[in-house]
Amino acid sequence: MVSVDCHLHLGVVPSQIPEWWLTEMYRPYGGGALANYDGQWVVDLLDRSGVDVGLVQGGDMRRTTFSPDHPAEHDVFVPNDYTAEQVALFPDRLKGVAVIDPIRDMGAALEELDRCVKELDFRALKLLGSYLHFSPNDRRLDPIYERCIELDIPAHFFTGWTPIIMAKLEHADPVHLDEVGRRFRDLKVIIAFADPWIDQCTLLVAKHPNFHADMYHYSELGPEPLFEALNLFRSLSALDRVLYGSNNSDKVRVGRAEATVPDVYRSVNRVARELGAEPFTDEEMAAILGGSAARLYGLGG
Amino acid sequence: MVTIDCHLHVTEVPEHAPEWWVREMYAPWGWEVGSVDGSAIVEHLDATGFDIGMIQGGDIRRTTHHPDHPHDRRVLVPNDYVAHQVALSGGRLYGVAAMDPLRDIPAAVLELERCVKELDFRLLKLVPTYHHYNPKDRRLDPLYEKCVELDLPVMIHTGWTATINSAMEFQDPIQLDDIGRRYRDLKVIVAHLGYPWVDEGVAVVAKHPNFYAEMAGWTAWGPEVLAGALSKLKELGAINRVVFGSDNTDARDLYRDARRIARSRGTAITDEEMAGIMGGTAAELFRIKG
Repeated sequence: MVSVDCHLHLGVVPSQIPEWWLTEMYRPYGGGALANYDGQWVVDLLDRSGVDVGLVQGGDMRRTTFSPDHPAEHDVFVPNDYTAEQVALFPDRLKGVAVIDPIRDMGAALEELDRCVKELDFRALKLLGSYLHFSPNDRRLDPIYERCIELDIPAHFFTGWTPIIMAKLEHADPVHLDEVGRRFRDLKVIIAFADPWIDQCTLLVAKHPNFHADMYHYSELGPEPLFEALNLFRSLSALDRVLYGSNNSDKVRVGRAEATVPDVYRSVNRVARELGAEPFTDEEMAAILGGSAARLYGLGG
Repeated sequence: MVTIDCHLHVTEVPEHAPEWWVREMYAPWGWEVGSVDGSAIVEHLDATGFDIGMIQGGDIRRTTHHPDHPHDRRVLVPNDYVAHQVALSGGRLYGVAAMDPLRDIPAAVLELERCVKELDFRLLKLVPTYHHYNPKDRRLDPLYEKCVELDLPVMIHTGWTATINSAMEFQDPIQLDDIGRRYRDLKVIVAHLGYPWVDEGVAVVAKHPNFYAEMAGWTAWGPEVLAGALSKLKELGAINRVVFGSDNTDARDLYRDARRIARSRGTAITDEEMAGIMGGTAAELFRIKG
């Protein structure tokens, strides 16, 4: 069965992303490499991780990006056309995710979403409420959700904490997605899980039959927390809506060793054995690592 | 000492609630949909070793909706049905008043008075997440004032439910803090202790001397979570304000395992404290003699 990473970022420094912005993003983690994440970089990551297909996204945060020390450098903009260009270089390995700033211009956002899906064959929409200063339940977003249903693509929401200072934490609480789920029952939603509202994310997915979990939060944790999370999904009959995502993470430190992120997934049954818990079946693991995503994004394989 | 399960539901399906509604609520666990009357609750009490049960109905007509069942939205277990089940129970059951305050506030206040003075109910249940209001909404004030006047505790649902049309934005128990500040004499039971907002639930209970913690339905979350909550409540001096509720599940193993886990981590819940949780505290709160 095909394996799929649903959460991968593209971006070139400094032409698309100012250096200060990435420095701010990586600040809590002791700094990070200011790498250029192009299609080749992502495909190399997929190869190292043994993953077949990656969903890649750019970003448009021009309207809300600001640092008092760098007032003129506020264009965080990785255009959809750049994503399409990189996807075209690796058509069997990469699929595009549309990014828009719906508050900047709703009409233009809808046109761009149409174009991304119909002309560029993108498979999802990414929305960044906290970065773009809107709450997901803001009624101004309704046309976007209606268009996602019409186009039959999932809307992938960033939730939770980010070190970016200008991001608004009040819009990062996933509880705002509940109203979206109540009002748009046919909308397919992917929640990117993040601290500090992990349990709320899990229960949102358990509550709404069209909600899915992007597990990128667990990509830098060991197998024990991942087992606990998957076990909770299983107990809530929502395991078939769990998606593997790496957020460009490559290696995970497990004790003294390093493992690839999919290897961490594959080791959850060791944890199950140690705890005397029921192991996950091969079918369940295959669905998490790609089967469910393939269904959601309309991928063959 | 008397043992009391203060969180039990009675419902006849489909007379009181459409099948789809019960099925949706049970969906994560795939439980069988069926009717639960007073005699079934007494059997549940016998099986789980409790003397007394507090049973509640509900009126969720105003906010119940499913796009596939647009006309099948009558969720109403009347207080009179609850009273009838109590009357048949031979002293094993006590009634809990349930109403939709936003449907008609003056009528809700009158109904509450009737439930207490005529039907001898011992508790009011409010379900803000199902009814789409914030518990600190000032429109609720007449109801809280009436509870203080009647010396009646109010149990407020906090935390998650699988019912899709419930509003998660009204599940965080932090929203009860305003009530605690403004109605210091109001006795509040924080139902489900806000799971997954457990830290917030512990915080409001520990802060307000008339607030009580109740963890009904936590069989779904497991003993680790319960052990953590009980330990924090003990550390903060609120372990004597924990009351047992099952939400119609068998929670005996849950409490036994949680107590063991808490002990292994250095927090001993004493036999006396456990007796308080299992009924002593509730007996005092609901004026039930052993």
